[in-house]
Amino acid sequence: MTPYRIALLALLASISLGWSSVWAEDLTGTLKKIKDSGEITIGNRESSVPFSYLDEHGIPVGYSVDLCKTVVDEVKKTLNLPNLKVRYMTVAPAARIPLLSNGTIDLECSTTDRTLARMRQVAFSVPTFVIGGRILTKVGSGIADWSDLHRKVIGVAQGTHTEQLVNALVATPAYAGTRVLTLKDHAQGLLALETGRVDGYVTDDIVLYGLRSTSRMKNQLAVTGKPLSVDTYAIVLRRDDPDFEIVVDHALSELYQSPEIEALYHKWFDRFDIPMSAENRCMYQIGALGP
Amino acid sequence: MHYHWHWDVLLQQPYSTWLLDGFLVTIALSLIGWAIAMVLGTLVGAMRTASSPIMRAAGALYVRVFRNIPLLLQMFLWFFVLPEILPDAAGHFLKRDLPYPEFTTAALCLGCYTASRVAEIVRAGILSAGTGQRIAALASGMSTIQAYRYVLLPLAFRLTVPPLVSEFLSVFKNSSVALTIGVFELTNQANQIENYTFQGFEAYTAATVLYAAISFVCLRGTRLLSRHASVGGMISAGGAL
Repeated sequence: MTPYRIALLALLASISLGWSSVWAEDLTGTLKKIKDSGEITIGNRESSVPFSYLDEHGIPVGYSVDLCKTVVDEVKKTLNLPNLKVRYMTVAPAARIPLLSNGTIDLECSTTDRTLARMRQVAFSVPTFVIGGRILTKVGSGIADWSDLHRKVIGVAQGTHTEQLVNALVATPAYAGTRVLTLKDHAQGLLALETGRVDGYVTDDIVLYGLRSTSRMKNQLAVTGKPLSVDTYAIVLRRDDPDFEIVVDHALSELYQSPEIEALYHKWFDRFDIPMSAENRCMYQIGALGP
Repeated sequence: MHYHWHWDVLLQQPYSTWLLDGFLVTIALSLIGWAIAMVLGTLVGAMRTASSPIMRAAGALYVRVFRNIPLLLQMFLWFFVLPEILPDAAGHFLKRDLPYPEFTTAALCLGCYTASRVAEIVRAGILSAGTGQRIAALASGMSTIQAYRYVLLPLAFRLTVPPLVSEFLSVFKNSSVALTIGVFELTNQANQIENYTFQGFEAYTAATVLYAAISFVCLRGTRLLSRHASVGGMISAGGAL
């Protein structure tokens, strides 16, 4: 064996050794944490129907929860941990960031908007759902679009991108005399609309459909208006954890390319009688990254 | 802990304006609430020491109702339930024509709640002034109203400065409950910043510092007041705050 050959073999051996140990030894961030502890914790919501909520038995279910289950399967495959323990934790929106930061939860699966300001603190998966800000109003109120809200009272959900857009819209001269009432949560928004305190309640359209379906006067309510904005929900992860991010995006990307996504959509959104929107279809195509 | 600190959000627009607005709304809401509470509370407190049993019962009823229902629930009742049980026209006025409906409702609610607590303090003050003062005032030809106005209430206030001060400080803290009906006071603005930027620790720290500043300034101011107001020979004379 010539010295040249020995060197080549040594090189090959070190490459193959190094390759096989990429996942085993060089795990970082969340993947390392999951491997070490043998469990992954998913943060879910109590009542974000149909994305993330507790069913009648208190078990977390929903569209976003199902997406996270797909992610968990991918993590199991990547780490070769078929018996990975999956824990759920119901978290309030105000607690999600501290709990994610201190490692109590590893993924937040609900209805969190992707925004640039939030990306300084957390990372997001590829988008999971496309929503638009629209208006829930009483049938016969004469409100068919935004311009009909002139001189009316608009209720908005606090803390959404739509809230900022509505405030900016109302500040324009065309909307002089229009008032905005900011409501703490969707239940209050629905109450304000039902009792006539506001003429229209504005937030993410999918939430409005959900609210309408739970309202005691659902036949008198309608979702109207062109979407004021297009936003996307996504799974929330800790920032600066690129390896875990790839695993999450990989799982979603594969799901978006399979027929399962269609079934998943029907499973959670057929109850509102709305077909898959063109925006969502397009989002799945864009989210389905090439291998 | 993988928290990314970004203190600069507190100086960024629009977040710095939100904090300042929230600070001013908290102060305005608390002062208006306190003004309502002092007027109403004095009246109810005086009623609780009146000789008429009906007045005493009415005063007691007020205190029991407003002091025993959680403030959070009261806010909700004032804002969402009251307009529905009133006649349609009045309900419509509250919902649509009242200026700044959330703020006005919150100030009224906070005032009525705090009034029940002020009333108890005032009653205690009047009782600790003793029956001797009341009898002497009436014997010197004062009417009951004059006796309260010129003798009993001034004495009661001077005797109860420390508990009134602590109640005054509570109003600022209680004002945060107004966020449940959509008033953008300090805590709510901090929530809002958390929601938009996910930098909750920075936002809540800023709110905490501002609340502490309000407390500090109030305590300083009232310490001077209490020294000035102390009554010689009574327990509270020179009492520490």
